[in-house]
Amino acid sequence: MTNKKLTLKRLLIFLLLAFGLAWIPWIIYNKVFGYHEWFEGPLVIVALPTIYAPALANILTRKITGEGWENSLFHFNFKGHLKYYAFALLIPLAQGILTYITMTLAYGHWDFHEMTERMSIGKLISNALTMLALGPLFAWNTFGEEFGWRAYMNQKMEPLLGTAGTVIAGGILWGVWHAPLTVEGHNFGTEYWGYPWLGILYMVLFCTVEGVFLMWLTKKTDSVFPAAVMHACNNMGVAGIGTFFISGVGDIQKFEPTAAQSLLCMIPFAVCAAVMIAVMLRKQKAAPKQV
Amino acid sequence: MTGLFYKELRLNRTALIISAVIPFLMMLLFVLLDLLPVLLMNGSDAVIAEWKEITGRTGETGTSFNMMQIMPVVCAPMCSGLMQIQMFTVDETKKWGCFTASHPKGICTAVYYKYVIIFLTSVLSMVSCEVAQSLYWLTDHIILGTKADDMAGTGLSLVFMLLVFFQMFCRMIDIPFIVRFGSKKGGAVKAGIIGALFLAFFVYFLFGPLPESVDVIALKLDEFLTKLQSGKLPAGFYAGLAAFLWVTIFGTYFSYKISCKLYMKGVEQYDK
Repeated sequence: MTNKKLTLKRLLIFLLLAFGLAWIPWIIYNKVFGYHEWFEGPLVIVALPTIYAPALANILTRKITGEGWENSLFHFNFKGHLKYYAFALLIPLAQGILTYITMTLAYGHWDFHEMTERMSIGKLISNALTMLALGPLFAWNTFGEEFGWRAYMNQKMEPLLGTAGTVIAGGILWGVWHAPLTVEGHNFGTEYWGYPWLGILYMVLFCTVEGVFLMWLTKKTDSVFPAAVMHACNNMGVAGIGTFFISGVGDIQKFEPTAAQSLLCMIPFAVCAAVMIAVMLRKQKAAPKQV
Repeated sequence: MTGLFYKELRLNRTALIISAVIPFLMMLLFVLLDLLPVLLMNGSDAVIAEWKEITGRTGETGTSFNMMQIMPVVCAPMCSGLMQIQMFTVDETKKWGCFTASHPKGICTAVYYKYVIIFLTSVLSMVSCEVAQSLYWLTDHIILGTKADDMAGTGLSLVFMLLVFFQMFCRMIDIPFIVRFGSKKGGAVKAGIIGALFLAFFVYFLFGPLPESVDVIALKLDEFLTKLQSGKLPAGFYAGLAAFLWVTIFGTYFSYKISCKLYMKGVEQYDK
């Protein structure tokens, strides 16, 4: 079997396991218990193994195909790479600030006085510092996904589809993987125009954009942990610090952007991701080819 | 896997397993050993009454948190703290110290992996507390039919995370002492601090204003935890908390640097 055929085989086994180990329990739990009770409620203990589905798929695929543990990316690699761990904390923060500034400029108007009346600068800084310090601890949770997507799927996809192809295909797969939860309202609720398809599309686009930075962090550090930290900061709501920059939209408690509005506000961050991909591809081309 | 991190994992695997398992195991054993006999002997109504009593839901005033939930918060840092100190005693020989110094990776890498394994112990303990908390909610759901909406604001995840930082704060202070003077003498520093705290508490209990009853303490603690989780404590508290977290992060780094400098001085005083 050629290298590419073997890589494809491993990738397909991984995807079958990653989706199967998550979707089957999720669909059953949604039907039997209801999403709100099992994912956010007293039955959350049954959710814990399912969020580790991609990591389990990585481990099982390696065992089934006899791949071994080379390139498992299971090390911190702090030395010389601390700045990338700092980026892992700051990228979700930058994403939130960009998104909400765009929201203010598109749907409100800039009023710094309104912003500081709602929350002082001191409180903003202390909230941000607290979330940035605690965010990485949540990585025990997100490691379950990243050890699958970044530490296995991306590595298998890149020789087959190239870097840009991996980002797009990986993003689509990662976004679609969330679908049984998105449909139940996990990401955006259930009361939006275009439910559930627009929600799934938004999730695919979001995962694709996020995937660029997660892939960049993983490639730069040769470790899965910065991606797990960035994902953790995302899930913990570090981007929510950017809500400080919302103004001119009336009562902020009642302001609920539609899915279309949220998509629009994602554009600046998506542009940053596109620039990042272009830089990665250019560096790849410029790098001397290994003989 | 090879290298110094593998050595740490192999030598300390019992400690890691204990830290990872104890909080969850305590919750599980309690549910099995306390509630199961009640169920078998007296039926489900007795189990409901027993669970309500254990979780403090028999009185007129209710609290969001109870001792069953607080149990992992108390046990986890004690247990993992003991394990973390143990991780230094295994290496307290002159032979090993000199070997480490001669190793291509050097002293700093060996000390670095000590800090990593200690941090990992705290994180495993935190994860175990999260699982224990999930088990508590599951038990509550099975016995009392608690729904997701009833659970709002009753999680202690933030406290579990803060405990990790509290442990790292304590370790950043006592590890350089342990590295320099050995775990027995270095532990004396910690014993001194704990002794001073006990003395302060003793003096407070003798002369300070005391609450009327234990229930008042429980209510105050419950109020504090509820406000902490919902962000309703004074802004100064959160600013202090943020400062504490980042002091711990940078302090741990400086503690590591100091430990590297003191390592060989500590090795010189080991027996052999």
